[in-house]
Amino acid sequence: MNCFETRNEFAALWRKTATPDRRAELLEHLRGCDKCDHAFRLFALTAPVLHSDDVPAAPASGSACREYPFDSPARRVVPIARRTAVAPRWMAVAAAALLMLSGTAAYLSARMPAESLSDALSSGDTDLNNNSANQGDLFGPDQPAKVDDFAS
Amino acid sequence: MTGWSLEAKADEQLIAEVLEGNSASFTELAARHRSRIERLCRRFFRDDETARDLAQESFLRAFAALRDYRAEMPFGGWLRAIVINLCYDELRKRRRRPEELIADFSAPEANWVQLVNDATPEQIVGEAQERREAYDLAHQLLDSLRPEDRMVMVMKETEDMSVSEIAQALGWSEAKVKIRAFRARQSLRKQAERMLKLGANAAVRS
Repeated sequence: MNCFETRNEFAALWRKTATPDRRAELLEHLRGCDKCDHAFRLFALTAPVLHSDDVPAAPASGSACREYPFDSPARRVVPIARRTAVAPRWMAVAAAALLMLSGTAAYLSARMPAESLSDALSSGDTDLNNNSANQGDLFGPDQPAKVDDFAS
Repeated sequence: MTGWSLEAKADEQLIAEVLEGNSASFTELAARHRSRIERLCRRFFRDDETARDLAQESFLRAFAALRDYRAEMPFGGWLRAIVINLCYDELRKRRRRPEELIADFSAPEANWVQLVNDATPEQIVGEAQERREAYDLAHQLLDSLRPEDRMVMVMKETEDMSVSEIAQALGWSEAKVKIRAFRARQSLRKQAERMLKLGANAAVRS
Protein backbone atom coordinates (compact mmCIF):
# COMPACT_ATOMS: atom_id res chain seq x y z
CA MET A 1 0.00 0.00 0.00
CA ASN A 2 1.49 3.34 -0.98
CA CYS A 3 1.03 6.74 0.66
CA PHE A 4 -1.70 7.86 -1.72
CA GLU A 5 -3.77 4.73 -1.14
CA THR A 6 -3.21 4.96 2.60
CA ARG A 7 -4.50 8.51 2.81
CA ASN A 8 -7.54 7.60 0.76
CA GLU A 9 -8.37 4.94 3.33
CA PHE A 10 -8.23 7.19 6.40
CA ALA A 11 -12.00 7.64 6.40
CA ALA A 12 -12.56 3.86 6.17
CA LEU A 13 -10.18 3.33 9.08
CA TRP A 14 -11.99 6.00 11.10
CA ARG A 15 -15.46 4.64 10.33
CA LYS A 16 -14.23 1.08 10.90
CA THR A 17 -15.49 0.04 7.49
CA ALA A 18 -12.15 -1.21 6.18
CA THR A 19 -11.78 -4.98 5.86
CA PRO A 20 -9.47 -6.57 8.47
CA ASP A 21 -6.78 -7.21 5.86
CA ARG A 22 -6.97 -3.69 4.51
CA ARG A 23 -6.93 -2.29 8.02
CA ALA A 24 -3.85 -4.31 8.92
CA GLU A 25 -2.08 -3.07 5.76
CA LEU A 26 -3.04 0.46 6.57
CA LEU A 27 -1.78 0.32 10.13
CA GLU A 28 1.41 -1.34 8.96
CA HIS A 29 2.00 1.52 6.54
CA LEU A 30 1.29 4.12 9.23
CA ARG A 31 3.83 2.49 11.55
CA GLY A 32 6.52 2.75 8.90
CA CYS A 33 5.73 6.13 7.30
CA ASP A 34 6.16 9.25 9.40
CA LYS A 35 4.48 11.52 6.85
CA CYS A 36 1.34 9.42 6.64
CA ASP A 37 1.33 8.98 10.40
CA HIS A 38 1.41 12.76 10.83
CA ALA A 39 -1.27 13.20 8.16
CA PHE A 40 -3.48 10.75 10.03
CA ARG A 41 -3.09 12.72 13.27
CA LEU A 42 -4.15 15.89 11.46
CA PHE A 43 -7.07 13.99 9.95
CA ALA A 44 -8.07 12.75 13.43
CA LEU A 45 -8.59 16.33 14.64
CA THR A 46 -11.42 17.03 12.20
CA ALA A 47 -12.71 13.49 11.67
CA PRO A 48 -15.08 13.55 14.68
CA VAL A 49 -17.19 16.05 12.74
CA LEU A 50 -16.41 15.20 9.14
CA HIS A 51 -16.26 11.41 9.31
CA SER A 52 -18.26 10.25 12.32
CA ASP A 53 -21.95 9.49 12.08
CA ASP A 54 -22.67 9.58 15.79
CA VAL A 55 -22.10 12.60 17.95
CA PRO A 56 -20.85 11.80 21.45
CA ALA A 57 -23.34 12.86 24.10
CA ALA A 58 -22.78 16.27 25.65
CA PRO A 59 -21.71 16.27 29.31
CA ALA A 60 -24.58 16.61 31.79
CA SER A 61 -23.62 20.18 32.63
CA GLY A 62 -23.73 21.19 28.97
CA SER A 63 -20.85 21.70 26.61
CA ALA A 64 -20.66 25.40 27.41
CA CYS A 65 -19.70 24.64 31.00
CA ARG A 66 -16.23 23.27 30.81
CA GLU A 67 -13.68 22.48 33.49
CA TYR A 68 -10.28 24.05 33.42
CA PRO A 69 -7.28 23.10 35.50
CA PHE A 70 -6.77 25.60 38.30
CA ASP A 71 -3.01 25.71 37.81
CA SER A 72 -3.21 26.56 34.15
CA PRO A 73 -2.48 30.10 32.99
CA ALA A 74 -5.33 32.33 31.94
CA ARG A 75 -6.92 31.32 28.69
CA ARG A 76 -5.47 33.29 25.86
CA VAL A 77 -7.41 33.99 22.75
CA VAL A 78 -5.21 34.20 19.72
CA PRO A 79 -6.79 35.96 16.77
CA ILE A 80 -6.23 34.19 13.48
CA ALA A 81 -7.22 37.09 11.32
CA ARG A 82 -5.67 40.51 11.72
CA ARG A 83 -9.03 42.18 11.78
CA THR A 84 -10.10 43.14 15.27
CA ALA A 85 -13.42 44.25 16.69
CA VAL A 86 -11.94 47.37 18.34
CA ALA A 87 -13.81 50.68 17.98
CA PRO A 88 -12.17 53.14 15.62
CA ARG A 89 -9.72 55.67 17.09
CA TRP A 90 -11.80 58.67 16.14
CA MET A 91 -14.46 57.51 18.60
CA ALA A 92 -12.02 57.76 21.51
CA VAL A 93 -10.94 61.25 20.43
CA ALA A 94 -14.55 62.34 20.04
CA ALA A 95 -15.43 60.98 23.49
CA ALA A 96 -12.49 62.85 25.09
CA ALA A 97 -13.46 66.09 23.33
CA LEU A 98 -17.06 65.71 24.45
CA LEU A 99 -15.93 65.14 28.02
CA MET A 100 -13.76 68.27 27.97
CA LEU A 101 -16.53 70.38 26.49
CA SER A 102 -19.09 69.23 29.03
CA GLY A 103 -16.61 69.88 31.87
CA THR A 104 -15.89 73.37 30.63
CA ALA A 105 -19.60 74.10 30.24
CA ALA A 106 -20.29 72.89 33.78
CA TYR A 107 -17.47 75.03 35.18
CA LEU A 108 -18.60 78.14 33.35
CA SER A 109 -22.21 77.70 34.34
CA ALA A 110 -21.15 77.54 37.98
CA ARG A 111 -18.98 80.64 37.79
CA MET A 112 -20.89 82.90 35.41
CA PRO A 113 -24.20 84.68 36.15
CA ALA A 114 -27.28 82.94 34.96
CA GLU A 115 -28.63 86.12 33.30
CA SER A 116 -27.01 86.63 29.99
CA LEU A 117 -25.43 89.90 28.96
CA SER A 118 -27.94 90.42 26.18
CA ASP A 119 -30.79 90.08 28.69
CA ALA A 120 -29.19 92.64 30.98
CA LEU A 121 -28.66 95.12 28.16
CA SER A 122 -32.12 94.67 26.72
CA SER A 123 -33.75 95.38 30.07
CA GLY A 124 -32.34 98.95 29.93
CA ASP A 125 -31.84 99.03 33.65
CA THR A 126 -28.53 100.60 34.60
CA ASP A 127 -28.88 99.76 38.18
CA LEU A 128 -26.12 97.29 38.87
CA ASN A 129 -27.94 96.28 41.99
CA ASN A 130 -29.89 93.90 39.77
CA ASN A 131 -26.78 91.94 39.21
CA SER A 132 -25.79 91.65 42.82
CA ALA A 133 -28.26 88.87 43.40
CA ASN A 134 -26.87 86.98 40.47
CA GLN A 135 -23.33 87.46 41.66
CA GLY A 136 -24.38 85.67 44.78
CA ASP A 137 -23.83 86.34 48.41
CA LEU A 138 -20.33 85.04 48.32
CA PHE A 139 -19.01 87.70 45.98
CA GLY A 140 -21.46 90.61 46.25
CA PRO A 141 -20.92 93.60 48.49
CA ASP A 142 -23.04 93.93 51.61
CA GLN A 143 -24.31 97.32 50.45
CA PRO A 144 -24.75 97.16 46.70
CA ALA A 145 -23.19 100.05 44.81
CA LYS A 146 -25.24 102.21 42.47
CA VAL A 147 -24.18 104.04 39.33
CA ASP A 148 -24.81 107.32 41.08
CA ASP A 149 -22.29 106.51 43.75
CA PHE A 150 -19.55 106.17 41.18
CA ALA A 151 -20.64 109.27 39.37
CA SER A 152 -20.17 111.34 42.46
CA MET B 1 -24.79 9.54 -2.59
CA THR B 2 -26.24 6.04 -2.31
CA GLY B 3 -28.10 6.57 0.95
CA TRP B 4 -29.99 9.48 -0.52
CA SER B 5 -31.55 7.68 -3.46
CA LEU B 6 -32.51 4.26 -2.09
CA GLU B 7 -36.03 5.26 -1.21
CA ALA B 8 -36.59 7.59 -4.16
CA LYS B 9 -39.57 5.73 -5.59
CA ALA B 10 -41.46 5.51 -2.33
CA ASP B 11 -40.64 9.15 -1.69
CA GLU B 12 -42.27 10.10 -4.96
CA GLN B 13 -45.44 8.28 -4.01
CA LEU B 14 -45.56 10.13 -0.71
CA ILE B 15 -44.94 13.42 -2.45
CA ALA B 16 -47.81 12.72 -4.83
CA GLU B 17 -50.06 12.10 -1.84
CA VAL B 18 -48.96 15.34 -0.18
CA LEU B 19 -49.69 17.25 -3.37
CA GLU B 20 -53.15 15.70 -3.47
CA GLY B 21 -53.79 17.20 -0.05
CA ASN B 22 -52.74 14.46 2.34
CA SER B 23 -50.31 16.37 4.52
CA ALA B 24 -49.86 13.38 6.86
CA SER B 25 -47.73 11.79 4.14
CA PHE B 26 -45.24 14.58 4.57
CA THR B 27 -44.83 13.60 8.22
CA GLU B 28 -43.80 10.15 7.06
CA LEU B 29 -41.48 11.65 4.47
CA ALA B 30 -39.88 13.88 7.09
CA ALA B 31 -39.49 11.01 9.56
CA ARG B 32 -37.70 9.04 6.89
CA HIS B 33 -35.14 11.76 6.22
CA ARG B 34 -34.90 13.44 9.61
CA SER B 35 -31.85 11.64 10.98
CA ARG B 36 -29.81 12.27 7.82
CA ILE B 37 -30.78 15.90 7.75
CA GLU B 38 -30.00 16.46 11.42
CA ARG B 39 -26.67 14.70 11.02
CA LEU B 40 -25.84 16.98 8.11
CA CYS B 41 -26.77 20.06 10.15
CA ARG B 42 -24.53 18.86 12.99
CA ARG B 43 -21.58 18.90 10.60
CA PHE B 44 -22.03 22.66 10.45
CA PHE B 45 -23.21 23.54 13.96
CA ARG B 46 -21.96 22.23 17.24
CA ASP B 47 -25.03 22.54 19.40
CA ASP B 48 -27.79 20.04 18.90
CA GLU B 49 -30.55 22.59 19.31
CA THR B 50 -29.39 24.66 16.34
CA ALA B 51 -29.04 21.51 14.27
CA ARG B 52 -32.57 20.44 15.12
CA ASP B 53 -33.97 23.91 14.44
CA LEU B 54 -32.30 24.05 11.04
CA ALA B 55 -33.52 20.58 10.17
CA GLN B 56 -37.04 21.60 11.13
CA GLU B 57 -36.77 24.80 9.09
CA SER B 58 -35.57 22.89 6.06
CA PHE B 59 -38.56 20.56 6.24
CA LEU B 60 -40.86 23.56 6.42
CA ARG B 61 -39.21 25.05 3.36
CA ALA B 62 -39.40 21.75 1.56
CA PHE B 63 -43.09 21.48 2.34
CA ALA B 64 -43.73 25.01 1.10
CA ALA B 65 -41.80 24.40 -2.11
CA LEU B 66 -42.94 20.85 -2.77
CA ARG B 67 -44.85 21.85 -5.90
CA ASP B 68 -41.56 22.97 -7.44
CA TYR B 69 -39.96 19.58 -6.86
CA ARG B 70 -39.14 17.73 -10.05
CA ALA B 71 -38.73 13.97 -9.95
CA GLU B 72 -35.57 14.04 -12.10
CA MET B 73 -33.53 14.10 -8.93
CA PRO B 74 -34.12 12.08 -5.74
CA PHE B 75 -36.12 13.82 -3.07
CA GLY B 76 -33.21 13.32 -0.64
CA GLY B 77 -30.85 15.22 -2.92
CA TRP B 78 -33.36 18.03 -3.36
CA LEU B 79 -33.87 18.22 0.39
CA ARG B 80 -30.14 18.21 0.96
CA ALA B 81 -29.74 21.20 -1.35
CA ILE B 82 -32.29 23.07 0.77
CA VAL B 83 -30.43 22.16 3.98
CA ILE B 84 -27.08 23.14 2.56
CA ASN B 85 -28.32 26.54 1.48
CA LEU B 86 -30.00 27.09 4.83
CA CYS B 87 -26.84 26.14 6.73
CA TYR B 88 -24.75 28.33 4.45
CA ASP B 89 -27.01 31.33 5.15
CA GLU B 90 -26.82 30.64 8.88
CA LEU B 91 -23.02 30.34 8.81
CA ARG B 92 -22.73 33.64 7.00
CA LYS B 93 -25.15 35.29 9.41
CA ARG B 94 -23.12 34.16 12.39
CA ARG B 95 -19.79 35.21 11.00
CA ARG B 96 -19.65 38.67 12.48
CA ARG B 97 -16.47 38.29 14.45
CA PRO B 98 -13.09 37.16 13.16
CA GLU B 99 -12.40 33.51 13.82
CA GLU B 100 -10.57 32.69 16.95
CA LEU B 101 -8.72 29.67 18.05
CA ILE B 102 -8.32 29.13 21.74
CA ALA B 103 -4.70 28.59 22.52
CA ASP B 104 -5.17 26.96 25.90
CA PHE B 105 -7.43 23.99 26.11
CA SER B 106 -9.68 22.71 28.86
CA ALA B 107 -8.30 19.66 30.65
CA PRO B 108 -10.29 17.13 28.58
CA GLU B 109 -9.45 18.96 25.35
CA ALA B 110 -5.75 19.04 26.23
CA ASN B 111 -5.92 15.31 27.00
CA TRP B 112 -7.48 14.62 23.64
CA VAL B 113 -4.91 16.64 21.68
CA GLN B 114 -2.15 14.99 23.66
CA LEU B 115 -3.61 11.60 22.82
CA VAL B 116 -3.74 12.49 19.13
CA ASN B 117 -0.09 13.51 19.39
CA ASP B 118 1.15 10.44 21.21
CA ALA B 119 -1.18 7.45 20.86
CA THR B 120 -1.26 4.88 18.08
CA PRO B 121 -3.81 5.33 15.27
CA GLU B 122 -5.86 2.43 16.66
CA GLN B 123 -6.06 4.03 20.07
CA ILE B 124 -7.04 7.37 18.55
CA VAL B 125 -9.88 5.81 16.55
CA GLY B 126 -11.09 3.84 19.57
CA GLU B 127 -11.06 6.79 21.93
CA ALA B 128 -12.62 9.36 19.59
CA GLN B 129 -16.05 7.72 19.66
CA GLU B 130 -16.37 8.29 23.39
CA ARG B 131 -15.08 11.82 23.65
CA ARG B 132 -17.30 14.82 23.27
CA GLU B 133 -14.25 17.10 23.45
CA ALA B 134 -12.92 15.53 20.25
CA TYR B 135 -16.12 16.58 18.54
CA ASP B 136 -15.99 20.07 20.07
CA LEU B 137 -12.38 20.61 19.05
CA ALA B 138 -13.10 19.43 15.52
CA HIS B 139 -15.88 21.99 15.35
CA GLN B 140 -13.50 24.61 16.68
CA LEU B 141 -11.10 23.85 13.86
CA LEU B 142 -13.84 23.99 11.26
CA ASP B 143 -15.10 27.26 12.74
CA SER B 144 -11.80 28.81 11.69
CA LEU B 145 -12.73 28.35 8.03
CA ARG B 146 -14.63 30.85 5.93
CA PRO B 147 -18.28 29.80 5.54
CA GLU B 148 -17.90 28.98 1.85
CA ASP B 149 -14.74 26.94 2.48
CA ARG B 150 -16.50 25.04 5.23
CA MET B 151 -19.47 24.33 2.99
CA VAL B 152 -17.25 22.86 0.31
CA MET B 153 -15.27 20.86 2.87
CA VAL B 154 -18.35 19.28 4.41
CA MET B 155 -20.04 18.57 1.09
CA LYS B 156 -16.93 17.00 -0.36
CA GLU B 157 -15.73 15.06 2.66
CA THR B 158 -18.90 13.92 4.34
CA GLU B 159 -21.44 13.83 1.54
CA ASP B 160 -18.98 12.61 -1.09
CA MET B 161 -20.38 15.12 -3.54
CA SER B 162 -18.54 15.73 -6.78
CA VAL B 163 -17.30 19.16 -7.82
CA SER B 164 -20.14 19.53 -10.31
CA GLU B 165 -22.75 18.54 -7.71
CA ILE B 166 -21.39 21.10 -5.25
CA ALA B 167 -21.29 23.74 -7.96
CA GLN B 168 -24.90 23.01 -8.82
CA ALA B 169 -26.07 23.03 -5.21
CA LEU B 170 -24.40 26.35 -4.41
CA GLY B 171 -24.81 28.00 -7.78
CA TRP B 172 -21.08 28.44 -8.24
CA SER B 173 -18.74 27.67 -11.09
CA GLU B 174 -16.74 24.44 -10.87
CA ALA B 175 -13.53 26.45 -10.85
CA LYS B 176 -14.69 28.32 -7.78
CA VAL B 177 -15.54 25.06 -6.02
CA LYS B 178 -12.07 23.69 -6.79
CA ILE B 179 -10.38 26.83 -5.53
CA ARG B 180 -12.46 26.83 -2.36
CA ALA B 181 -11.75 23.17 -1.73
CA PHE B 182 -8.03 23.74 -2.13
CA ARG B 183 -8.04 26.75 0.18
CA ALA B 184 -10.17 24.94 2.75
CA ARG B 185 -7.75 22.03 2.87
CA GLN B 186 -4.74 24.33 3.15
CA SER B 187 -6.32 26.38 5.89
CA LEU B 188 -7.56 23.40 7.84
CA ARG B 189 -4.19 21.71 7.66
CA LYS B 190 -2.50 24.86 8.93
CA GLN B 191 -4.90 25.18 11.85
CA ALA B 192 -4.67 21.48 12.71
CA GLU B 193 -0.85 21.67 12.71
CA ARG B 194 -1.13 24.61 15.04
CA MET B 195 -3.50 22.78 17.34
CA LEU B 196 -1.22 19.75 17.51
CA LYS B 197 1.72 22.01 18.35
CA LEU B 198 -0.26 23.75 21.07
CA GLY B 199 -1.24 20.37 22.46
CA ALA B 200 2.39 19.28 22.51
CA ASN B 201 3.38 22.51 24.28
CA ALA B 202 0.60 22.04 26.83
CA ALA B 203 1.86 18.54 27.52
CA VAL B 204 5.40 19.85 28.06
CA ARG B 205 4.11 22.55 30.48
CA SER B 206 2.13 20.09 32.55
